[in-house]
Amino acid sequence: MRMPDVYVSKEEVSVPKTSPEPMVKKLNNKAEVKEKVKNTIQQVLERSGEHKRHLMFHSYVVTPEKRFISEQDDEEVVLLLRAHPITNLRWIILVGLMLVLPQVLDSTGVVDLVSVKYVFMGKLAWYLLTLGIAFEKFLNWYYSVFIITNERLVDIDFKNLLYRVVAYANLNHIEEPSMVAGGFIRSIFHYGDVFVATAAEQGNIEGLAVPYPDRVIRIISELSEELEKDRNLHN
Amino acid sequence: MNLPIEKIDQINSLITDGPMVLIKWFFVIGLAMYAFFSLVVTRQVKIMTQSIESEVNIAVKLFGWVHFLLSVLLVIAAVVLL
Repeated sequence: MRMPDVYVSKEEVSVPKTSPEPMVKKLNNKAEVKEKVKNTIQQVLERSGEHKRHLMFHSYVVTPEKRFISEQDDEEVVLLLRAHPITNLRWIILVGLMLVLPQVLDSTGVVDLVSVKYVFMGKLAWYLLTLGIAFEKFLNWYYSVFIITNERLVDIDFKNLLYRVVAYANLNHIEEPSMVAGGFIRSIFHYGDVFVATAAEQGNIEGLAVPYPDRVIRIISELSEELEKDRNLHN
Repeated sequence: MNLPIEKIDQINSLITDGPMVLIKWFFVIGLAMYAFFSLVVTRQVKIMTQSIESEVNIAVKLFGWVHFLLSVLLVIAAVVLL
């Protein structure tokens, strides 16, 4: 009778080896999905008469290849929108006036009544404040974006210091998008507001004062349609 | 009653310099508040640059810190020069 082994060496233990095949397959699938997504986007852009480009100081960027907060792996940015640059005109004029104000006061002779060191420090503080206002306004414009991906709409807004609002809407949960592009200035510079009503409770998602709102609407509609087709195909 | 000359000088300097000292400290407090604001801006820049990838992110971050540094330097300059 054979005694049972008290110790079994590691060599004798047969460990079932995992095959690398599923991992490779998974990676291939991922690459395939990515490729498919890119092709779909390309088709949608062709149908909408668009191609990879950026216009109006990066306020209308087609396929920017930039990532944003909470972007998913299989998600691709189709359009990145900011408010039309002309909407910055008001604060640019304000900053311009603030820059020339010290010279104007100098020329009137009012500052001669004040001590030189106070005038010097006052001017430095004034220019720093002007710089701060310009910087703050630029930040609010540049980082408040409306993003359209192949899967959803993302609206990132900065209301004031440290207050960020991020709203999402899945393209298969949206109602018909609409736009408002009236008025003299808006007609000349081709910009307007885009509103997309969602089926979810959070209500509307909006891109305010974005360039070419008609093209934006078309791309959203095409992407939504494409997603619907894809879903029907899988069902 | 005749006041000594030194006393009269002291009163005169208080009348002439007093408001300027007050203005100086108003100035310094105002600039200190602005320095605090510029520090908050650097935090805001951090949040903003995290929200979207961009080629200007580094420049914006740098500018935010330069702005903060300038505002601190201005507070120091106000305390020393005024």
